[in-house]
Amino acid sequence: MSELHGLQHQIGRLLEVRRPHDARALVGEALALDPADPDTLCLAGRVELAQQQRAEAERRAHEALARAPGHDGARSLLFDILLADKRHAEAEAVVLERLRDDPADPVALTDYARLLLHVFQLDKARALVAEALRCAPDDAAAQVLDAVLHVIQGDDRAAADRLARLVAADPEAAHVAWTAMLVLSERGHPRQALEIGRQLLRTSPDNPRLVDAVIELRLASHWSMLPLWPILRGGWVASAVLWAVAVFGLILLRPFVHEVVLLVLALLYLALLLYSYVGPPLLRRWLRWRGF
Amino acid sequence: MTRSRPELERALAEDPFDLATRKEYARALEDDGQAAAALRQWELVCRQQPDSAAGFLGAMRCHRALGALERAEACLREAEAKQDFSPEIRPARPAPALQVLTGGGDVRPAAVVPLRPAAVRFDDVIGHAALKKTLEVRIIAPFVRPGLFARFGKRAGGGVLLYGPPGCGKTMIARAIASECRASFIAVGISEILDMWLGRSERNLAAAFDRAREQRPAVLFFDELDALAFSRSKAHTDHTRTLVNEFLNQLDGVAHDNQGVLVLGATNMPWDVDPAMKRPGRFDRQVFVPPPDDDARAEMFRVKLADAPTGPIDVLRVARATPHCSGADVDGVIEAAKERVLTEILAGGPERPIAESDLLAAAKEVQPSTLEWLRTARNLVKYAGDGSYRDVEDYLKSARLL
Repeated sequence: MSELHGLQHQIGRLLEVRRPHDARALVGEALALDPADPDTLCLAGRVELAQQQRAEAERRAHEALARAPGHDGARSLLFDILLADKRHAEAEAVVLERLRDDPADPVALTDYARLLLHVFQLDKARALVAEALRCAPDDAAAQVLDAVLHVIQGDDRAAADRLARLVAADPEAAHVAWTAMLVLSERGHPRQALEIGRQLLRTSPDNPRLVDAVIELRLASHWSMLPLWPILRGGWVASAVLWAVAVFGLILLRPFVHEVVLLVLALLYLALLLYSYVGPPLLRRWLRWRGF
Repeated sequence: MTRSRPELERALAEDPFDLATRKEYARALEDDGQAAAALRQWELVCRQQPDSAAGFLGAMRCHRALGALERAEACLREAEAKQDFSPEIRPARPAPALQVLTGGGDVRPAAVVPLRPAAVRFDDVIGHAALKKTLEVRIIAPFVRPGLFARFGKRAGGGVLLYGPPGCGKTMIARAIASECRASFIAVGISEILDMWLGRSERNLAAAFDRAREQRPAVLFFDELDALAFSRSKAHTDHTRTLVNEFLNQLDGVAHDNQGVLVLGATNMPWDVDPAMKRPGRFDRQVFVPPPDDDARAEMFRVKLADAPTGPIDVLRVARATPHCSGADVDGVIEAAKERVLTEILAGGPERPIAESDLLAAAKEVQPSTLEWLRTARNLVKYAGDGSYRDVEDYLKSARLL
């Protein structure tokens, strides 16, 4: 291994342990050894991206691509930047170029599926993930995306199967825990999902999305949300069914029960509606402020 | 104008062949006491400008700082061979610090021993009274009085993890622990362990432990522990996992005897440290180093302003105007106040000392660097239900952040 490769290896390591500042110093050294090396330029871009300097990261990615047009790392970096910037059309062009070079590249297929997930093209995303898994059955990123897509499409059983395979491969990995949290939540086990979420939060307390997810799970598993269980579980479909049952039920019951009873039932239903509208936001605010 | 380190790093990433910037960066690293990192920069200068003495002289200084005297001599010889070397810039050879141990009555030559660098004592650490008391009982006393503790079935040594927001004195406390323990202090940073060559990081780590075992009683201090023992569940590569495995192997001491070696770790991000590191027998004692309280900050202002021209200042009032500020933030406030006064003087105003109003105005400009950390820690306490952060919870409650 040459000195340059050693430095590149070291930069990658520092990025992994969240030391972009230290990595930046080494990037300078690596560039001093070979300022035109595309791998180093690509790592320089990764360092910039880790410090949220997206414009600078993009410049580095283009610089690397100018020197090595087919460089996988640089194209992958550019794709990540464009996706983070929500420049979906440009990101698609980049990933299509990768697939044109190698149609069986599981990483490119998964990246494309990720992009399509961002723009809610779920069927196409599913097909791409299936292809990625056909090319590389053990690819963790593709497996996670597959489980996520199953969850979104309401196929909890298939998601649970995928999760089981992920757990068997690497039970301690953070991405597996994330998937487990998602699948359990969707399968109507918010309490168990909450436990996993809290474990995850212990290792990533600086992740605001995770904090939000844990608060939502606590909300869903709170005793005061029991009356809203069907709505929370079934979403807008359950709301519509509940509304139809209440309205038609009251109409059908009208000839058989006393008007006072009907009035009480109607009031109860209205109270439930009001509670479903006011209760969760209030509880959410309370949980966020008070903790749990 | 002097550029900051991030500015220099950015400039070097832009133009790696800018020798003036690289030299400035190397000097900045030297000034920060990072001799190993500075040495790498000077070596690059030597490579890029092999006919100049400057790089070799820089490398020589770094080798001296690292204790590699033979290499320092070799660099000096290289520098002397260059055309731009002039005898005036020849650095003085380091004179060993001398201490007269005996003398007077008996006419005998005095025994001379090299002096160790001035040690930091607990008294030098401003504030943290409760923390110092805890450390005294839990860590220092077992080390200093092993017999007493052995009778109660407790052993000296083991691992202690100091964690807290940046700039609050974790490293200084670690140094103070070492001197209070009357033990050798071996400080290890990530640049001394992480190596670009495969397998060498693990070897460096093992060597640090071996050195501590040879010099026992010893305090082995790992700064930025999270980078060396990064959580394996979050790691993507095998290199990180291998290093953590080696660390665990060294700490467990199955093949090694760690008796008399106190392993200290410091980190700003304890949640990034592999959970296995915190199990009994490893870094099982975790100590929160909070930001200094009002009294401690007042004392810091008093000490740090001692050499500057000042008018009458109520340091406690200034301290109360800087809540959650770390020691480093206090430095920032003082620097900002100095700049305000100097700007006024340079704009034609009368020459005057630093006033309390300057410090109070500067305090408004400085954002405490601890806040982000405290907000993150609040997530742990409020939502993650992690009982191991009880001290942080108490601090957040007392600071009304919870």
